[in-house]
Amino acid sequence: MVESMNEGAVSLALDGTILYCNSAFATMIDQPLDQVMGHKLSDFVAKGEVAGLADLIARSRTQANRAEMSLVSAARELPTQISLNPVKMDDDSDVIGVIVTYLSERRSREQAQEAVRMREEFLSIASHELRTPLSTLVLHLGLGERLLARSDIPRLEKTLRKAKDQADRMTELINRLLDVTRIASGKLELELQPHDLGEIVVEIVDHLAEAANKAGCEVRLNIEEGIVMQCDRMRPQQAFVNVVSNALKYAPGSPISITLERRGSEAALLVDDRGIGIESDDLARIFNRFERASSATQSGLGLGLYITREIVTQHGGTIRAERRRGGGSRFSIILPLSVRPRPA
Amino acid sequence: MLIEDDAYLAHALAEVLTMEGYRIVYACDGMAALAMLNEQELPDLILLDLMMPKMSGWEFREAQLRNARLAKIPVVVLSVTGERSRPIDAARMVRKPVTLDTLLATVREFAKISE
Repeated sequence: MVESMNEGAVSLALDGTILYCNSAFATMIDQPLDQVMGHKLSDFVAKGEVAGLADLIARSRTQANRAEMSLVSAARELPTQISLNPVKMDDDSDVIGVIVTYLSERRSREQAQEAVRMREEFLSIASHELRTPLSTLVLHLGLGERLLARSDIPRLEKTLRKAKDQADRMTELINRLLDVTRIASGKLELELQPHDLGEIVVEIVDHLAEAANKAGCEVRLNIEEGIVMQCDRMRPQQAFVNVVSNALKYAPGSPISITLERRGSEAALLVDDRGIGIESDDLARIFNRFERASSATQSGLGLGLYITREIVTQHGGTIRAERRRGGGSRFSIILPLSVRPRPA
Repeated sequence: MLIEDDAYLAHALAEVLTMEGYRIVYACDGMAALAMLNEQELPDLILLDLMMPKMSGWEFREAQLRNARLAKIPVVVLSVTGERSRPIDAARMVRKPVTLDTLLATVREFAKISE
C-alpha cells in the first residue's frame, strides 16, 4: 500500500537510519533505492537542517511531530513537510514512520519573501531609531570639543552629561531590539522563582522618581502587601517599568496612580493617569510592534508595549489599555501568581 | 527653522547653532512648521527631518512647494535614509549622524548669522 502513495514514506531506526523507503521518496531525492536504504536520513537533508533533524528524530521516539524540512534533490533544495510517528513493529521493535510531502513551492516562497520584508522593515526602523540619538550624541561631543577649547568647563560638564544620556538611550533601544529578536525566535527564556511584586513596584517607582519629577507627575501608590509571584524577576519588572514610564511620557503633569492588588489567584497592577488618553481605535493597536498611538509625539521604537505584552502573555497573564471616564488612561496587567509559562 | 520630531536632537541642534550665532525657530512636526511659517518672518533655511509622525518630511516639502510665499526657502534634509529611499527635492541631503563641522559648514552656505 505504501508503494502506491505519491508521498514519500520512510521507516527510520531510532538513530535515524533509513530501514525502508518507498520509490516515491527515492524519486523525491533523486536517488536509486539502493543508495537510500541503510543511509541516514540526515544524508539527504540540507546541511543547515541536520542538527534540527536529529533533534526532531529524538523527540519522535515518543510522540508525533511535524516539521518543514529542506531535502536535497539533484543538488537543489526541495522544501517538504515531514510528519514523524513512533511505530511499534510486529516484531516488537521500535521505528519512526515518516511521511514526506512536497511543500507547496509558492507558499514557501511567499513565506520567505514575507520574512525578508519583515526583517528589512525591522532593520530600517531600528537603523532610524538608533541614528537619531547617535546624531545627538555626535553633536554634543562636537560641542564638547569647542567648549573645551574655550575652557568653558561648566557647560562642558552639562554637555558631557547629555552625551552620556544619549548613549544610555541607545543602549536601551538596542536591548529592546534584542528582546524583540529573541521573542520572535522564541528564545525569551524564563527562570522561575518566588518574588514579592510589591517590592518590585516600589523599586521601580524609586528608580523613576527623578523622571516623574521632571515630568511633573505625582505618583500615588496603593500596594497590597505580600503578593508573591512565581516568576522570572526581570520580566514583570520590565513589564511594569514599561507601563509606568509610558504613563510618565504620555501624561506629563498628570497625577499617576499605581495600584497592586490580589484578585484570587492573580495579581493586578493598574496604572492610571489623567493624560490625554488613547483613542478607542488605538487601544488594541498600541501593543503591536512598531505602533504608537496617533497622538504620540515622542520618538522611540514603539516596542515597549509589544515587549510588555509578550512578557505578560508568556507568564500566562493579560494586559489591557482603557480610556478612563473623566479623561486619561488605565493600563491593567493581570498575572497569575503561580505560573504555567506558555511556549513563545 | 528646525523641523525635527526628536526633542533631544532638536535641542542639541538648536544649542550648537545658537552658539554659532544663528537665530533658531523650532517645530516638532510638519504641520506645526507650516502654521509657524504662515505667521512669522521667513527663515533663511529649513533643516528638515524626514521621518516624522502626523506629517512626514516629504509631505511637508510638497506643501511648502505649493505655497508661493514659502516655496523659495531652501531646505536641507537631515535624515537617516539616504538617496536609496524615496527621493525628495531639497537643496542638500545630509545623513545622520551629522558631525558638528558638516552641520555648520552646510548651514553657513544658506543662512546668515544674526547680529
